[in-house]
Amino acid sequence: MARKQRKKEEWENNMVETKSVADRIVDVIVYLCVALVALCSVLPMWHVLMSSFSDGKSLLAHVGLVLWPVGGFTLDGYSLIFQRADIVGGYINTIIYTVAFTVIGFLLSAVTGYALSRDTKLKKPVTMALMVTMLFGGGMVPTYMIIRALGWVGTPWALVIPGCTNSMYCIMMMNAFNAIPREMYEASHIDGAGHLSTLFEITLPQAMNMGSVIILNLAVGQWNSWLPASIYVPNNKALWPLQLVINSITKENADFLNSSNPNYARYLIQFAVIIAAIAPIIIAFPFFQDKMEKGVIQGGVKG
Amino acid sequence: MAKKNAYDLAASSRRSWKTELRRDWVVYLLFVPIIVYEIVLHYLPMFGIVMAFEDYNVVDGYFHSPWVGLKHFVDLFSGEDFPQAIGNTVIIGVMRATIGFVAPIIFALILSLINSKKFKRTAQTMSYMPNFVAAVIVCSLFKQFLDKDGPLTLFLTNVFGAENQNWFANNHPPAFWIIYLLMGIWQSIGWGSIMYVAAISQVSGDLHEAAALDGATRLQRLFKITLPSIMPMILMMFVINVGTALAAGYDNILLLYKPHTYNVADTVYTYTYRQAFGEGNTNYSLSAASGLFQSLVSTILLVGSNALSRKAAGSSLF
Amino acid sequence: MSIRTKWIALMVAVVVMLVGMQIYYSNIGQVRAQNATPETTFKWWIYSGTSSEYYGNYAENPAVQYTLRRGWGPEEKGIALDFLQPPPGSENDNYTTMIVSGDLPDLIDAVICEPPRIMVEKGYGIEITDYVLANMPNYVALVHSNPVYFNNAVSVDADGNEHYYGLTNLQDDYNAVFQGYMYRRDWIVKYGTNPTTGAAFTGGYTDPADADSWVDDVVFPSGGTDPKYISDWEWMFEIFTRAQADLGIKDKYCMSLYYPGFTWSGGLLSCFGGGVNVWYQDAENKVHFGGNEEPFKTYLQCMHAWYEKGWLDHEFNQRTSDSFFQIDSTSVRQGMIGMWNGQQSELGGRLDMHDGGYTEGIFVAGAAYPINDMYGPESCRNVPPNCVMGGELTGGGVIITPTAKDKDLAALCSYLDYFYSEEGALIRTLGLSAEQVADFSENTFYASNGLSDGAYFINSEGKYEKSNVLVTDSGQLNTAVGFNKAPGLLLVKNVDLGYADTYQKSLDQWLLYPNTGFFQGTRTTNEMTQADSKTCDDIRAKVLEYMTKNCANFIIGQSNFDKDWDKWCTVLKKYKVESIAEIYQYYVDHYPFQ
Repeated sequence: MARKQRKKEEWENNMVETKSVADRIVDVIVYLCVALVALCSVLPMWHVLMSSFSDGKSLLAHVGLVLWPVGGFTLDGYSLIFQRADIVGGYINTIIYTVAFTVIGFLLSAVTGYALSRDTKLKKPVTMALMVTMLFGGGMVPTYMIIRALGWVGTPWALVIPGCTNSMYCIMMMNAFNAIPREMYEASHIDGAGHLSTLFEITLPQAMNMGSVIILNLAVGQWNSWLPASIYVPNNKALWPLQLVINSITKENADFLNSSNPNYARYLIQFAVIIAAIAPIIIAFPFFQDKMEKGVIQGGVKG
Repeated sequence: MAKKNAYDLAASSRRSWKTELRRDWVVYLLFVPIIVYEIVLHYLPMFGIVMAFEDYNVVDGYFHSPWVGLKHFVDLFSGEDFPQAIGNTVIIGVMRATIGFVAPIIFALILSLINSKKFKRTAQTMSYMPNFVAAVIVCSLFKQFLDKDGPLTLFLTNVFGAENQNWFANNHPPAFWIIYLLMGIWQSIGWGSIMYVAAISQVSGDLHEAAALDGATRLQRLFKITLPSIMPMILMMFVINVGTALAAGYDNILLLYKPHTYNVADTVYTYTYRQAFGEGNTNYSLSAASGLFQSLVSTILLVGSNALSRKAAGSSLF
Repeated sequence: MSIRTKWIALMVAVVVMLVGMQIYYSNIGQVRAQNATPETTFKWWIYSGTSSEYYGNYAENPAVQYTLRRGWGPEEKGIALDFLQPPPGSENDNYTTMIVSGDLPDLIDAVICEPPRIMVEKGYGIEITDYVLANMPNYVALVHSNPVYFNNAVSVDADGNEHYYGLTNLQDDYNAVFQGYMYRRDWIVKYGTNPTTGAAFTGGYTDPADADSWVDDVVFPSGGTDPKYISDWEWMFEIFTRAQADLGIKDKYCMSLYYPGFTWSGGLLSCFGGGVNVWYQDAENKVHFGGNEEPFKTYLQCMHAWYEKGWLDHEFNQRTSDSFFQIDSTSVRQGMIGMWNGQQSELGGRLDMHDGGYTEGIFVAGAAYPINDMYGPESCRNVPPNCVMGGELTGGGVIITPTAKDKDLAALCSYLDYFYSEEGALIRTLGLSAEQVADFSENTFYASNGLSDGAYFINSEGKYEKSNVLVTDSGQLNTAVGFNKAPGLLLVKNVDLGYADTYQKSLDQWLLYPNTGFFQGTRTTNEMTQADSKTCDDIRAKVLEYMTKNCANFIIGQSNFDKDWDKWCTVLKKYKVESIAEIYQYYVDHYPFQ
């Protein structure tokens, strides 16, 4: 044990101290590539952010990238959108929907993944059935008719249940459970644990790295979603998620120049709403990333 | 013996349903939610597929509209611009299933070479940002940026001497294809890499250690250890990607193309959309027929790529 | 805490959350009717409502609430309206879902649906003749007062019986249009000279603070004070070129054009002796396919000539990011362009940014469509345009669906008839008067938006004039104060919308020529049978797609008129454009739209 430890230290020292020239070149290239991707990802968002702080009339005439507010710093765009009562409701609804959707979707995917990973008579047929739904669908209107028959039209259930899982997530979870060494299951079995406790207490924590990826995808997907809401709860604004509110604000504003006395600050709305929609995610994300990384590393250590 | 039986993967098929249910009723119970979910929300709506074979009208409904057999498929395939649409779909699909698919993997691999935790995290977080922006907005941003006086166009003109033009109006291949591909990569490179980053972080440190002691350089370890260990996941994602390459992700083109760029931008999806929901002549049946056609092709692709993956790498999705 | 208790706690939390959601959302509902029975509660799908800046649900519209305070119909029953309003941007999807799933409301706003008769045939609507005749005296009287109303609102069968399939909006005069060609008249004053005397023009603002106080002595080569002919336009283009050279505006052009190279409803291309590039009727009511005729070719040749001279926007067919009619609005707003197809809000001095840029001292005036006097054969010259987007006297309205069959349609129809009376029409067109606002003090919408004196007043000329608050409003307050979703009579004749002089003058130019040739979307096509309508629409869509793809090539010179024109004609012939013309001819003869 001690020898191994020493070797490990040597290896780590090695890494720090004797970097070859080739290593350094690789380093430079790697850092440059990553920095470039990061920059490209952020630059357009920066453009939007700075545009949202600009002066409407000057921005309309501006050509090229906006690196700094054009025509002076203003908050006109934001004051226009936050004047509206429905935007706060939109935030609340989106948060509720995102939490519910993610929890239901994750549990369903995890339970299904576990069931699929066990040796049962249903393993094959259910996998095939899942693959089929990945490829074939009845279309928007038949789905609408089923959801109407369930009595979900005009309720939030039409937004948080349909689409909360999909074949890919179930199969991904199945693979994650399959990747857990068989000895774990055997040990758990010998300890007298049932399937439920094996699933939730022993194997799911191990599969959480894949689980977090699915949780992230579910949460971000629901946060950005507006199409289902426009189909299932179009007439009740109290149920609209943020993205639908924002979409409608943008659309209502598209022809603001038609007004005989156009308010140029309205030009800023299209930029301000983008920021308003993504700011909460971007602020919340690092905390979540922290948790996720811990989960992933834990999973890795245990596995 | 009992232990062996319990984890023999083919054991279930040898037992009767009755024994199975008595033994593992909990697992069978766990199947219930997904089976109900799939039947209600996915299989029941599939009755809509019959539309593809009838002249659907609302009064007669799904089950009494006149049956026309394969008429809509014939209409679809005999359309003048259909071959062009197929061609563009294949080109864009192949580009996305190869370059577009590999980009996040490469990004994840490159990220794994970075030692500075802080830098890595910041870069990762930054690269996720485009994923938080709705597709409609991404399209309008790209249109703005690539317009004749857009920042990106000006950059290309001033730095690389490219002709000053509205890039989305360029109907000479392969401009549109490349732009569309890059747009997809921009949107998904960071987010798409999460899964691979998670998988890479799981690769046992001992393996790297041992390899390093044997004198393997970082790049060698990348190709000898990291890449093979995430290969099963890559293959799984590849199979799924190929299967969905034809069917998904073309709706944004509706926002980006113009009649004079149809020759490079028209795809099966957009072509059908115009035929089915064009001026005043909404044709749901044609749209259903096209959907069914795309599903069938996707099935073939999925089964094919799965077989390929099984043959080449010994692992497959199903 | 052990993992097990954690999971149990989590499960309990999930259940609590779901139950909580059910309770929370079951209490968030829509505005409910109080004074109505289920029989008189109507669901009404509207294509668009008002900006949610003012209220979330259209039922909160003060004009709607005002009209619903009293009872309607023979028994004076209370009516409730439940408005279904799709989220902006998904109107068409919403409509499709509604129609295809058969989940119909009671009333459908006839904006994107098929003509009422076809809607009834297809089972989305019901015939309401009995109710109209019994409960809608104002509507029936109005419809019979004007043949244009009658032709568009009533279907007459072979036996001469009148059928009402829906309610149509009527207008007492041609409506204002909000856009058209406009040009920089200040450049003409500054850089042009009198075509006969050669003297410089004079002119300018009499009041620098008033964007409409422009006076000048400009005379065009054709002799008038407004451009009238293609030659006048070319004279202007030469002046614009001089202006741009003098100001140092590089790489710009004189005029923008719609991106495919034509406008679907005709417009500029009908100035060359023909109609549109698809089907139109000529002065003798004969239907033509214009796409392969001499006038359209002449139009393309003229545009090509302008393109070659640098007068046309060289990227007209590549504008993908401007939302306003796909023209180059950035350059327009920077004052670099001489002529464009623009909005009412760009007229006069409204584009002046007062920043020393190219917009300094700008004055924009509207121009009529120019009559061709220079290009093509004699037959294509000096013919006034006949296919223009002008006002129409009818359009829109509502369709009543089978869902409402057993409801109290007598009460509904008598309610809707109110909007065809003068009093109701005012509420529909403008909003509430001062007295009505005072009478309706329990609703504070008008007071809180500075409209305590009502949405309009009667001015010295005896006209209804819009309140100044509404005229200068920069948002959408105008649509929020009145019930303009109601079918009814739109008042135009006796209403002063408070538009500025420049707009009134431009309006006269834009409406100079009536539409006599373009029948798409009028009674003529509305009366088509389902089968004919489908045949024509299918071919029309194909023809337009072909043209949209290839038309610009003639203008930019990629296709040439000697060689490629024949090919163009051959391809179009393949679509059987002549047989479609025969179908249209039948309807033009039997159901003239004028």
